[in-house]
Amino acid sequence: MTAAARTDADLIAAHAAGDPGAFAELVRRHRDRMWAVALRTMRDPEEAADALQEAFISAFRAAGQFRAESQVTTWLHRIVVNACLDRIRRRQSRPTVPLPEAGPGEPAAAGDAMADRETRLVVGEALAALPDEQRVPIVMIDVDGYSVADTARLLGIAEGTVKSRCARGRAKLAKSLGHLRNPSADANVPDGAGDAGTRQPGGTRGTRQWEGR
Amino acid sequence: MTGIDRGGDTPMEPPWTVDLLADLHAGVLDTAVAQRLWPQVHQDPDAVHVLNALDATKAELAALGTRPAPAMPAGYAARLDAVMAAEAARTFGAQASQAPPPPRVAPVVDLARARKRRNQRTGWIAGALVAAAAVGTVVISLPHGGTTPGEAGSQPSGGTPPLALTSGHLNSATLTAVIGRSDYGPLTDPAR
Repeated sequence: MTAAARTDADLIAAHAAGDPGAFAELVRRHRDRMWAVALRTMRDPEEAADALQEAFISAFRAAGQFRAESQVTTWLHRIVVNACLDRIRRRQSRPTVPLPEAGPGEPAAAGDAMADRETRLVVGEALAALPDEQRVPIVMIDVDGYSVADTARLLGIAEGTVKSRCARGRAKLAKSLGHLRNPSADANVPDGAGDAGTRQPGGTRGTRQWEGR
Repeated sequence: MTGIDRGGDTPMEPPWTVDLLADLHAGVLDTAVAQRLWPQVHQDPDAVHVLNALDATKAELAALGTRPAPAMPAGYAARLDAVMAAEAARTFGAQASQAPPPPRVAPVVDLARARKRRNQRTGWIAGALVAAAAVGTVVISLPHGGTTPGEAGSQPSGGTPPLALTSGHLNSATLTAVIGRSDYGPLTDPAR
């Protein structure tokens, strides 16, 4: 059976059984997607790359504990997020290191539509301007789709705190992304979100979700 | 009582701050407070504008997660590959980072080719055994000039008498008939 024909679960099983090439194939398959997760969680590309390395090493060593009932991508995603959170906690225990001026620096893939690239950069920059305690839960819940309960558990904080931090961060993002145009409303939004984006919302109104998902 | 109870301080009339509306939007407020507040904010265009802006923000964030991921920069990807190869080499041995994995079962070969090779090997061994047996018989028998049945080391019991080779049988025609060879080197001379 060729590597391409094997499922992710097959590769995990083969790796656990001693196939030395199986995990490398898994890394090749999911590297870019997990890179995006690490980058928007960490902001700094160098730190994102380090976190991703730690995550894949952890997954390599823990593959024997993988249970087939969950998806490999979900399992990997959680390991990457955990590795990022570990690094953020370590970073918070050290003196502040200024981020590079280039911002999150999400690289563009060849062939990306310009509009798509612009959107990603603008949203990425707006997210990068948020402090860790607001950006991380927003990324986990609004971008990566974790529940409030899972996010609270992974971050080790109360669900109410998660919701509150998301609320503060979304308010800043709504301003920096240009969704809040009413000056009287703007006046109530705390500064510090940066002015990364001034474009108008592009018809992306979604169904209102009153709970923090 | 899962959210914030502001102790009756939550204003039920506009204007509301963006922070309060964001809390309401995110489910931060106490359930009873939120139930009273929602009908009020729906009546206020400014509040609705803020809530729509928060919806649009969430939608944009969700779209970020569904777009195709950009490729990991080549430098970082190469570094990751090197780290993973080193980890594989530590775990599985040095061959992991250099060569594809060895087959975990005996290699599969063509059956006809395997049979042919086996038959060739069997033929050579059988031929060598026949030749060795024939030469051994001649070497053992000739120096004694003849044998009798009683001199044999072991005698089969009963039935057909054992095949006994006497010096009278040792002419070249008989030997040729037995072993199929006519060249005996120095033994060709019957007088020896």
